[in-house]
Amino acid sequence: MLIIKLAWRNLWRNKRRTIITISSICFGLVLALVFIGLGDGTYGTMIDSAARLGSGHITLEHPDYRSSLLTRLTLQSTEELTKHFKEIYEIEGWAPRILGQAMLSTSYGSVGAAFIGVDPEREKENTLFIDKITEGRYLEDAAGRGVLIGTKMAQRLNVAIGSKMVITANNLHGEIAAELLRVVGIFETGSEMIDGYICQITLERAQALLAMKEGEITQLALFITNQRATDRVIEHLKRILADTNEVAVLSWREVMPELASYVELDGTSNYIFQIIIFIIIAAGILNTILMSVMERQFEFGVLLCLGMKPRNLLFLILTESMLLGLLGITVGTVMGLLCNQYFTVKGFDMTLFTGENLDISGVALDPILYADLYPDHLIITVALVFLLTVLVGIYPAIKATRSEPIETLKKGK
Amino acid sequence: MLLYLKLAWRNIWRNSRRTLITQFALIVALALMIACSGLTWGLVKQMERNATLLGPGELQVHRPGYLDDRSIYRSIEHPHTLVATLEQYGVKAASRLHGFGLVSHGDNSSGTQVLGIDPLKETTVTDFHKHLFKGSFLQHEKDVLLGKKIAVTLDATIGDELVIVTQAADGSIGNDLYRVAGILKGISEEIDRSTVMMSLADFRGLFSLHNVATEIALRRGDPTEDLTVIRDRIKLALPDQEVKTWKELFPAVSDLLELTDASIYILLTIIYLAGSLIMLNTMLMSVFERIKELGIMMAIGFRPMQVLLLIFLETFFLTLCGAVMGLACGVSLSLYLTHYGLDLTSITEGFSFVGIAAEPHWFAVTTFNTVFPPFIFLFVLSLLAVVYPAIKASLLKPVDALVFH
Amino acid sequence: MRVKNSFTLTALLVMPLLLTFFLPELFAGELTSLEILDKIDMMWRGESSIGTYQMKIKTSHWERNLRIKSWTKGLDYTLIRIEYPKKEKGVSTLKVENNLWNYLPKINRVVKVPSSLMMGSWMGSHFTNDDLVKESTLADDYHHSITFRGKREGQEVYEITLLPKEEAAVVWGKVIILVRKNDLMPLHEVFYDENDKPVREMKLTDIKMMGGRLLPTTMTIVPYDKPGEFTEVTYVEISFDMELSDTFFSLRNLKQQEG
Repeated sequence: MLIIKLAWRNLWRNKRRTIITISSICFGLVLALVFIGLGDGTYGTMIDSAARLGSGHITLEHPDYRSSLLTRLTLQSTEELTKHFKEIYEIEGWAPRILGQAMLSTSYGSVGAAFIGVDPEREKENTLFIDKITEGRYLEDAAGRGVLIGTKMAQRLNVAIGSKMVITANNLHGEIAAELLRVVGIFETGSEMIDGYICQITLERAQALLAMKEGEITQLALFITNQRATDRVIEHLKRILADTNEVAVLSWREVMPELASYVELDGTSNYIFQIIIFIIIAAGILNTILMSVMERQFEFGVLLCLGMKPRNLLFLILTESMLLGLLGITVGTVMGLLCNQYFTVKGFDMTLFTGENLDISGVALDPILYADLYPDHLIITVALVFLLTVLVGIYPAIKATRSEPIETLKKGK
Repeated sequence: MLLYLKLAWRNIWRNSRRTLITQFALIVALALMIACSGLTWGLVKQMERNATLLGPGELQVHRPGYLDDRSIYRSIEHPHTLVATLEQYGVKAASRLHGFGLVSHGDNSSGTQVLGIDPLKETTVTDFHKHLFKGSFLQHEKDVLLGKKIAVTLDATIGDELVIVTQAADGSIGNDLYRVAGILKGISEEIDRSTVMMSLADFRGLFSLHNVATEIALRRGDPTEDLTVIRDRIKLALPDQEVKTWKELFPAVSDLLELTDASIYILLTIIYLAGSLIMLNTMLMSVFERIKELGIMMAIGFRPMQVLLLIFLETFFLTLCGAVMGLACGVSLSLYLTHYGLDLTSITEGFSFVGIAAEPHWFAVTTFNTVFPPFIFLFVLSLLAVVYPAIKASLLKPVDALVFH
Repeated sequence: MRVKNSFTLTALLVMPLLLTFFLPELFAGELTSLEILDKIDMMWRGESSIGTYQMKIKTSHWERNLRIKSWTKGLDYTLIRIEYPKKEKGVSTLKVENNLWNYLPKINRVVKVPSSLMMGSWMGSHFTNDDLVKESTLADDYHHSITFRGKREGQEVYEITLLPKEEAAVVWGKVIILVRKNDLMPLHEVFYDENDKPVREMKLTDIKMMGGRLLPTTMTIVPYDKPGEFTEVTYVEISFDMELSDTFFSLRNLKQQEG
C-alpha cells in the first residue's frame, strides 16, 4: 500500500515527464486500436462482400460437388434443409443457387459462360450485383426468361437490353438442352473475369434447362450476421443435419481459398506492422523510464542507505511503471475507442488513393473501409500494451537496485 | 563558434548514459523505418515485376491493327529480323504467337489460349522459366508448359500426353500430341486457367504457319531507362509497327499498382508518426532534464541566444550520431531482408490481386529512396522537437531554472 | 427443351430422306404451311443413308475443298469421314445422340468435343458442331404461315415465313423458306436476327435424281456478315435404307477406316 502511494507521488513529482510518457503509451495504443479496428472492419467487409457475391458465408452442397464441380451432383430438397434455419439466429438469410457452364448464343456468335440460377426475391436482400447494374434492371420474375450479363459479355456478343440469347448446356441426363433468354440487365463489377464470363438467370429457368426437379439445386448459400461466427454456426448446422446425408457444410474459406489466403496474408502483414509500431513505442517508453531512474540515482542511494530493501525498491519502480501503464491505457483506450467509433460510422475513404475498382482473385471490393473493432481484439491489444510497459520497466528497475548506495551518495547530484 | 562546437560535443559525452539512452530510441526508430520502407517498396516492385516479367514483358511490338481483333492473319512478317534490329538497340526481344485450340488429356478437355514462345529468347525477356511449380522449361520438341489451373482441369501432370486440336491458318484441322514438361506457379487468372505454352516451331507446325509472329515482347537492357523514352526510340527503329509500353496495354493493372503505391504511403506515414513521437518524447525530455544545468550556465554569464545555440548544436551532434548508427542498423536489416526476404509461405499460398500474382515471400529493396527519406525526416524532426523546450529554457531566469522541475 | 434449328447440317445429311414421302403429295393441290412443315418435320425420322459429298469452304483467308463420306441413321447417329485432301484423310466425327467425338489419324487419338465448343465451327466450315447434333422441330418452335404463293424467278413457289414462338430457344428473329410448288423441293432459306437483318442464307440447288430420289444435291451457306465467304456442299452419290445397325456407330468404328 505504501509502495503504491509512494510510486504515485513519485510519478507526479515530475509532471512533465510523466505526461510525456503517458502520451507515448496512449499514442501507441490509439494507433494500434485504429489499425486493428480498420483491419477487422476491412476483413469483415471483404468477407461479407465475397460471401454475398459468391457462395455465402456458409455453403451447403453435395459432398462430392466441390472436388468435381459436376452439375449433376445436386441437393435434392431445398425445403428439407432450410426448415432448420429458423433455429439458428445468426443466419440472416439464405439463397438457393444453381451453377453450371453453358454456351450463350445470338444470331451472330456465341461465348462460353458460367451461369448462376438464382431466386430473385432472395437475392434482392443479399446480393451486391444489384448495386453494380449499369443498364436495365435486376431479375424480377422468378418464372421469367431474364438474364443478367456483364458489360464485357454484352460487348462481345453485341447485345443490348431486350436482345435475345439462347443458353445451351448439358442437362442432368447428359443431353444437350437449351432455353431462350432475354437480356434484362447489364452489370459491371470491374473484374474482367466476372464481367465477361458470368451471367445470372432465374432458378426456375435453370431447373428447366437442366431438367432438375422442383427444389433441386446445386448449393444453398447462407449469410450470417457476423462472419466471425462462421465456424460456430457450421458446427451447429452439422449437428442438425447429421442425419440428412448427401449434404456438405462448407465455410467460405473452403469455397474461396484464394480470398482466405489474401485475408491471412493481409492479416499477417498487419500484425507485422503492429509489432514494428510496438517496438518503436516500447523503445520510447524504455527511454523515459530509464531516464527517470538514472536521474534519481541519488535519492535511491539515500533510500537504500536508510534501510529500504533492494527488493522493495524494485517493486517501487515496477509500480511506477505499472501506474504509468494503467494511466496510459486508460486514456489510450478511451481515445482509441472514440477514433474507432468515428471510422465505424464514417469510414476511411480510400478513394483518395484508390480508384473505384479493386478485385482480389475475381472478387470485387468496396473502396471505403469501415472499422469494426472486435471486443476480444480490444482487450488483447490493451493488455499487450500494458504488459509491454511493465516489461519495459523491468530493466530500469533492476538497474536502480544495483546502484551502490555509497557510490551514488559520494557522487551526489 | 568553434568553442561552441567543442562544448556541445563534450557536453553530450559528459553524460554518456543519457546520450546513449536518447539515441537508443532514435536508432530503433530509424532502423525499423528503413526496414519497413524497404519491405513495402519491395512488395510493390515485386508486383510490378510480376505484372510485366510474368506476362507481357515491358513493351510489345505488334503489326498495326492486330490488337483490334487478335487475328492470326495480322501478324508480323520476318520477326527474326526485327528481333535482331531491336537487340542492336540494347533491348531484349522475343517473338511470340497466339492462337486458340482445344486441349485434351484423356476425357478431360478445355479450350485453351496456345502461346508459342522462343525458348531461348523468351528467358531474356520474361521470368516464366523461374516461375515453375513443377517440372522444367521447354527443352525438347513437343514440350508444353501448363498454367496452374488448366493443369488441374485436365488432371494432367509432368510427362502426361496431351492432344491439341486447332483450326490451322489454312483452314485445315491442326492436331498433334504434346508432352507436359512443366507446370507454372500461379500468375494471373487468365494464364492460370487457359494457357498452354509451346515453342514457336511447334506452334507453326500445329497452325500451319510460316515465319511470322503475332507479337514481339521486349525488355529494357537498362532497367533505369524510362519506358516511354525507349518506346519512342524503338518506334523510330520500326516505323511500320505498333509499339506500346505495358502500361498502355494494360491500363487497369497499371492503375492498380499505383493505388497500391498510394496505400503504402499511408502505412509508411503511420510508421513515421510512431517514430516521430518517440523522437519528440525523447528530445523534450532531454532538454527538460537539463534545465538546471542550463540555469547554471546562464548564471555564469551565458546569454539566452547562446544557450539556445548550444542546445541546438548538442542536439545536432546527438541526433547525427544516433542517426548514423540507426542508418547502419537499418541498412543492414534492409539488406538482410533484400537477400533472404520474409518468408510467409507457411502461412498462406498464393492468390491473385487484380490479375497479378502475389507471392507470399517478400523481399525488401534497399535503395536511396528507402533509406534517405527516413533518415532526413527523423533528423529534422529531432531538431525541431527541441525548439519548444529550448526556447523555454533560454527564456528562464537563471534562478528559476535552478529550481526547475 | 430440345434445341431447334432449321435446315443446316442435319438437313444436309438427312435431306435425302425427306423426299420419299413427298412424292404422293405432289398433286394434292393447295397445302397449308403446317402441312408443308409437317411433311418436312416428319421426314426427319428413322432412315439411314450412306453418301459421299464434296464440301468447298471459302473464307477471307483461305479456301478448302474436302471430300467426305457419311453414314447416318435417323437423327441420333452419324459418322463422317474425310477422304480428301490427303493431309486430312481419315479425320472423322462420330455423333451418338448428343455426344460428339473427333478422331485424328495423324496422332491416332480420339478427342471428345465438349459441349462448350458445340457452337464452334465444324471442320472450319460455316456449319457448327451444334448444327450436327441438334434435332429440328420447325413446327414446334415457329409460328408459320404461307406468305406468298406465286411465281418467283420463273418457278411456282410457296414462301413460308417462320416467326419464333414466345419461348422457343432459337437465336433467329425470323426465317423465310422458299419451297417449289410442284414437288415441294426447298429452294432457299434466309435467317434473320431480331432486327430483321438477314444473317445467313442457305441455297438449295442442282435438283436431280440421286439414289432413286429427287433432291437438291447442292447446298450453300452464305453468311451475310462475312462477304465473300461461303460453304458449299455437293452430293456426289448417295444411297438410302441400307442396313446400318446402331452398333455400327461406335468409337471403335470411328478409329477404323471401315465402312
